[in-house]
Amino acid sequence: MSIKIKLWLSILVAGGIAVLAFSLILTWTSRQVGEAIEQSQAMDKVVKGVFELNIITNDYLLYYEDRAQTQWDLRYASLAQLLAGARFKGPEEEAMLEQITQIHADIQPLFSQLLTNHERQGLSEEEMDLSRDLEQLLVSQLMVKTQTMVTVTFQLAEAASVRVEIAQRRGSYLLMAVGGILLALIVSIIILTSNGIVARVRNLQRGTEIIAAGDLDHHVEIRSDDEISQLSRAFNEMTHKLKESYAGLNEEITTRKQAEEALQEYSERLEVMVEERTKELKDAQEELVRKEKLAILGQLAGGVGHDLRNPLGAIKNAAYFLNMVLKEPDPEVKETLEILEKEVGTSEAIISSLLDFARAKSPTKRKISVNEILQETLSRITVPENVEVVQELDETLPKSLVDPDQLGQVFGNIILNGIQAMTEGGQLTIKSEAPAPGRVSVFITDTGVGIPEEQLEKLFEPLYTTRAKGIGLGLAIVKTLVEGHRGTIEVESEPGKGSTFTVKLPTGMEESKGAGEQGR
Amino acid sequence: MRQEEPEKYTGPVEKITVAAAEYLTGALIYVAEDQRFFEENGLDVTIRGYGSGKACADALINAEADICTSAGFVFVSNSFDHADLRVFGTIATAQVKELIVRRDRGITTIDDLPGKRIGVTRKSGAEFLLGVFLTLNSLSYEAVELVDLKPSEIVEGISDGDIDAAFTWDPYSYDIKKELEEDVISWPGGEDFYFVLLAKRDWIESNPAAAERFIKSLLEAEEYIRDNSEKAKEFVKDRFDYEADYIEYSWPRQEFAVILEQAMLITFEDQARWRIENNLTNKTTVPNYLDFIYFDGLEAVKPKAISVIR
Repeated sequence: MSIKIKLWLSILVAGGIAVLAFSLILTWTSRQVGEAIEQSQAMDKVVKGVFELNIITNDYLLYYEDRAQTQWDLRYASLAQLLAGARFKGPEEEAMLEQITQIHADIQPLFSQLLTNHERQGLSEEEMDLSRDLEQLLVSQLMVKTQTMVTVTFQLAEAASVRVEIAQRRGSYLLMAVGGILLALIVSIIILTSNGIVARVRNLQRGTEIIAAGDLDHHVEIRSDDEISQLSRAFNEMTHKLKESYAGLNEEITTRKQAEEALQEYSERLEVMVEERTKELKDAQEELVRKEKLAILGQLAGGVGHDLRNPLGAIKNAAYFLNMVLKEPDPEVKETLEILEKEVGTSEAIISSLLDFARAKSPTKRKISVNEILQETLSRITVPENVEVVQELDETLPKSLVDPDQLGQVFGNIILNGIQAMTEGGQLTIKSEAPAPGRVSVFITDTGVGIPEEQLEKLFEPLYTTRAKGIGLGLAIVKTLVEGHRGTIEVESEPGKGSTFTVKLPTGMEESKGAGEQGR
Repeated sequence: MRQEEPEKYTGPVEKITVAAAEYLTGALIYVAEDQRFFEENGLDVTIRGYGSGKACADALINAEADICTSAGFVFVSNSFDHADLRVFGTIATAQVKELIVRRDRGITTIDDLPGKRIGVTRKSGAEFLLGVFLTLNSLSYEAVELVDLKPSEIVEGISDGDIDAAFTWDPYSYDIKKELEEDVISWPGGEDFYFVLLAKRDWIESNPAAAERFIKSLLEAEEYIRDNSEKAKEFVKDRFDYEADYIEYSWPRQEFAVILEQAMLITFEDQARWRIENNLTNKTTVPNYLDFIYFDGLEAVKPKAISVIR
């Protein structure tokens, strides 16, 4: 029911009640006042009748005219009718009416007697005196009674008038009281209705505030089917749609955010990937360059080594000849011949390295434990007394399918480098382990001078050396041999503390197994 | 101006001849004629003007008019011999008679009246009221010398000094005062005087509707005079060719009303009694004037105007 209809209904109901109440009160009041007025009017007639009877009595007593007598008879009879028909509420009024009626009845015989006395004819003087005395008596009695009747009649008239006033006043008070009650009722209805409307509007307002604060699950209470309820319903609908839109928006935002994050991540990854790729390319390029370099270097080394070997052989033979022919050489000559032999030896070593580097060949693999290769390598190396060698070899290390000579060369080179780094002595630790099935790792750690970081990158580049002797091919050869086994070599170093070379190799036993299986 | 428009009479028009006094007391009749109240009430009224109420009553008695206006005293005079007369209303109540005395005749108080010559129209209402005046002031007729004069002669008589005092009515009393001014003083002469509407019983019982409409017309004239006093005065002044001063002097002493009062009966009886006591009639008993009153006309139109006890 709409508010407008409710209000109209309220007004109609209140108006209807007011009309009904007023009608009832007015009807009752009218009846009361009407009765009182009727009585008052009846009383007025009685008053008039009594008063006129009094006047005509006096009039008659003045001259005893026939006219006056006729009028007295007429008035007396009409007054008798009025008194017989008069009805008054209240015991006092009834008593007064009874008194008037009684007096009215009393004056008739007096008047008749007065009339009779007046009409007496042929009286003697004594009878005339008596007649005059009687007349005076009758006149005085008549006057007294009529005057009393007039007095009581006025009192009764006043009482009747007062009743009218009371009835009117009562009606007015009643109307005022009912009017006040109805006004209060109407005001109450208006206040209740408006409070209800205001409360619900405030509720709606609170709802908007709650929703504005973010609680989209909030619903405004719907109590009825009026305009405010319809507004509330629309509001809830709007909130629901807002929530859906918000959820959708959130989802979209989340999706976008995720996409952005993914994009960001991808972008970052891309950067990394680009970096990695660039590095790969760079590495590949470097590797290519290195391989080309190595290839060129290998060709050069092979050519130079081969070409130098002959002259060196000749020098060496010459030195030997001289040593043979000179029986007791001069000490200086002898020292010089020794230096010559030594340097020829060094040159031959360099040439061997060059030739090794140039003639690097695929590994000839056989099943052997890496520990065995390490131990065998150690046995061939002369370790200075101030260098302690610690072996931490995993005895459960599985056999690997490797080229023992090449790995011997690898381990030998690294061990020798380590010993050479510990010029003041130190500890050389050799450790082996199987970090995962099919993998072996060898750690060779020295406590030497260490390698500066800027040198670590170039450490495995051919012809890179920081020593006075050697041409810098040792670690390049080591790297090539390790990579020939599909392994890796890394180095960690801290200047002043030492270095650790880590060689990681596949055992290659799957190949062996596969080859073995294929070989069956 | 009338407060409300009267109901329009749509029946047949009836002719009435009215013998009316041609002076201020008859104002209701002439105003009703002037304002066409008779016409609106379906009456074709012919007004015949007479100089006195006695002449009007004579016209009625002689069947020269259907209705007449006259002083109550005139009605009472005729009532002894004409029991068929009917009073069906008044046209005015006035206190217009007064005793005017000449100062230069040594009269300054009522006590100075004994032995003075007083001019009065004998056998008229003036003589009656003079008797009332003397009795009320403890003077007998024998104490003064009454000089019988017509109304117009009275003015001349007191002006010329032939009489010491005059008991008369308007306009004669006004003329005397105007003539002698400060040389005279006056005292009001007794009770109110009724000016009545008279008709014969036969006529009124045969024409009750006409009588009723006639009264209605006069009641409308009464309302008009009450609501348009200045206009009514102006009309009457012009109608009777009065001086403005006279209208201002006499108008307040009249009450133009159609009524039937209880006191009117007592007045009639007093006047009748006086006539009997003064041998102005051969009748010895006062008529029952209740029988001479026709109530129906006024009762039908304005019952509140009737205060006769019945």
